Amino acid sequence: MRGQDLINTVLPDEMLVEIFCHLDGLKSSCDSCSLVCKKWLKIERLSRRTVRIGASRNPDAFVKLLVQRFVNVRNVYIDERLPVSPPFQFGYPIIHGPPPATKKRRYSKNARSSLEPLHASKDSRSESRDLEPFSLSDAGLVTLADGFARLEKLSLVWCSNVTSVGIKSVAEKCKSLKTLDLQGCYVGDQGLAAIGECCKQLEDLNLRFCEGLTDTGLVELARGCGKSLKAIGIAVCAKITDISLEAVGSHCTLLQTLSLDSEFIQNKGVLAVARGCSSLNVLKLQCINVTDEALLAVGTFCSSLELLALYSFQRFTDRSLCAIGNVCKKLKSLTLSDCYFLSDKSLEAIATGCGELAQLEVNGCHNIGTAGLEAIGRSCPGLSELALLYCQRIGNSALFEVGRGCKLLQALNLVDCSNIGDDAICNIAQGCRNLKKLHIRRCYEIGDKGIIAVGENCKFLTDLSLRFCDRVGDAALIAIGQGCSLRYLNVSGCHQIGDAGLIAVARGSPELVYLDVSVLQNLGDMALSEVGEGCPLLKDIVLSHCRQITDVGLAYLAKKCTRIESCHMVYCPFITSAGVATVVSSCVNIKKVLVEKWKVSQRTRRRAGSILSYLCMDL
Amino acid sequence: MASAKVFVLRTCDGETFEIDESVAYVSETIKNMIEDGFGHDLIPLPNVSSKILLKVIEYCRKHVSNFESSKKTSNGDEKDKDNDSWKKEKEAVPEVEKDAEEKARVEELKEWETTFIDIDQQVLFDLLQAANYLNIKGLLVMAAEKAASMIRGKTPEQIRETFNIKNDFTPEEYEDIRKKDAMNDFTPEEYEEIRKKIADNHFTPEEYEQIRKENAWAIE
Repeated sequence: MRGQDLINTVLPDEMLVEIFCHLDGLKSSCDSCSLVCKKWLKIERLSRRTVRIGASRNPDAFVKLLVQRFVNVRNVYIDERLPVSPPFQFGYPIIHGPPPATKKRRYSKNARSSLEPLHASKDSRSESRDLEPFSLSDAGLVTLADGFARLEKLSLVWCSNVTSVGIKSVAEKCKSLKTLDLQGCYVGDQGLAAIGECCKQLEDLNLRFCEGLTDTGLVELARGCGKSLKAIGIAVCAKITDISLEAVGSHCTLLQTLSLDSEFIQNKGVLAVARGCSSLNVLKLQCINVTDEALLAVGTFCSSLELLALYSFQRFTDRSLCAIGNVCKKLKSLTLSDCYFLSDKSLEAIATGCGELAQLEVNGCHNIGTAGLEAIGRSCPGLSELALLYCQRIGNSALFEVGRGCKLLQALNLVDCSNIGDDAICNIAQGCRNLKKLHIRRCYEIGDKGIIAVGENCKFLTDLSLRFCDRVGDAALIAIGQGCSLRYLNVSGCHQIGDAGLIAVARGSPELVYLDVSVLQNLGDMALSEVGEGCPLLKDIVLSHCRQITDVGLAYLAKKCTRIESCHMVYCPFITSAGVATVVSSCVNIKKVLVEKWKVSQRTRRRAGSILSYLCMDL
Repeated sequence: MASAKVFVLRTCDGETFEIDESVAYVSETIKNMIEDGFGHDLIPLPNVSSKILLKVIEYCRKHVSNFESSKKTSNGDEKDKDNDSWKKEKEAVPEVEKDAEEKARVEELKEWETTFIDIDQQVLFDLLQAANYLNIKGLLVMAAEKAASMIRGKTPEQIRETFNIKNDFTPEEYEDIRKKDAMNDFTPEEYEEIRKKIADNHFTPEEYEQIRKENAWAIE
């Protein structure tokens, strides 16, 4: 032995625990530590604080294993939607496609948001339904509660077999519980009442999609641990009404965060919370039956409000937003989604009153136009994130003011803003030189001129997405390549872009990690090989619908970018099974390949069946 | 500073060190001893050698002077005073939100930190113990983080080499543990990525239709 083993002789066990805690639960490092020597194995097991697992074939047995191995765990996250990681095959079924949760239809009037990924395979849906009996049961939860008495955070997402029985044992055994997330679990009132009785340190409660709960349960919980509760989330719980919120208003006086998504909540409930919870910091409402009366109360009593988000066809008018602007001086983040009745007056009131505004999103509010945004640009110098989605009425001059007034802008997101054009983008580029993220989708008036200005002025840009902007071409990307070192690039559907533009970006962005060039008909093998040369850190690539790329370009890319983890390449007529095989063999970290089923040879299927996803033909 | 009160610390090897009140108070242990009335005579530190106490005092002095200068350039409030401010500096803050002076201060601090903790293993582990005994959270975090950085990303063999640890597993034991460790367990980053991908609908229904129409070609 060359030197002395100091770490084991000088440091007591508690210090080793402290050091291991700094590994942040990084599995590879923790696993390495457990294999160093027997002492480290014992200590590593003792120092594990967090366990995160997805769906597994026998979760109850799995939990038993975890409880024996790691005795000091404080945080457990079980998410039945997440598939098992491919490399780990102990006879566990591999699930691809949509989560088993799709059997529960999400209530959403917003047609734009769809829960199911489009490339879903029907097979995996029926397969996953068969697997439901294998999700965590009450017995498993009892084992968990028994084993981890010092549990602080418990997250059970879509564990559909868990009931009040399991939750009751958690309540009785884990009195230090601070965070409880029961998203999508069919827990009943007795479970929640038990939590209220036993867990007096509970701060964070998430009851989204807990369809088995009624007012009884939540009222009992509010009575029991109302004093410690800081955050509550409720979504689509048909039997939770204003009665629960009145209990929250009277018992949870320190409440800071409230997130409500329910058509069964009316003004009375929100009013009660506004009056009772004056420390309210974050309020998110997606309640179609709540009107001005409730929001006016918020605008009167909740002067500490920092984040306000209003979603989906709310009936709020300018009156309530003006009240918010008057009283909530600390407002930092505002989201207005599908609020049809709000006009420029609302934004003007917010602009005047809330000078600290840092984040603004306006989504589909068809009565908000240029004037409102101009006011924001003039009065909110701290604005750092701006998102304008489906804002057909907002014109260039709005962004002129933002460019002039908001020097700290870091992120700009524009979707379907048909009246915003090159001049506006030029102004933003010249005024907001700290821009880090620019996302533009389907804004047909924006072309090369605007993006060239961005390339020339925004040196800190790392995230650029230009989807379906059919006037953007190679000149734009050349300017970007010269001026910015990107980490994320998405130019899907900008069909004027060809090899020249991509080559310029590849040369200028050695740290590129994500690339989406789908639906680019003019892109060829040259570009792919330059990306291979210039971007060795690439992890995700989307090449679907690129008609000109062939196995040659793909091979070049795969051989140089060995860190690729996901590759989508459907509808590429010149990519064959040889190309697919090359990707699978050259990219050692590959986790997902999306391709047509018939392009996968038997040999490739044998080597890497678990990571392949197939395009569904029936769509 | 209000008072120029001075305290005397004595190490296990008999050396004495004089420090100001504000510097002494960086250590919760010493602070408690003083508040309990033991500050009039020498404060004995039987678990700390003079070599290590020198390093500790260097840290404490830097901590105090850093806090003073941060009060001048930004609106530092009482919250900054606790040792967690070291950790907060590491979190990403947009460059432009700090003005030039503040930026320079942060840069200088980072450089000082890197040099300060660039020490051999013996000193590092002694420092870690001292920080624990003296209850100086920021120093404890810094030293533990340095040790963790020597472990992160390495294989078991590499870790053993770094610290000269003997492998006391039999080959069968080793294989057994290795297999058991390969379980379904995500890192925080993987977890977030997978969750995002589940939520991310790559094309909107309209886009998908548009592409389908444009690219109608026979598969079979």
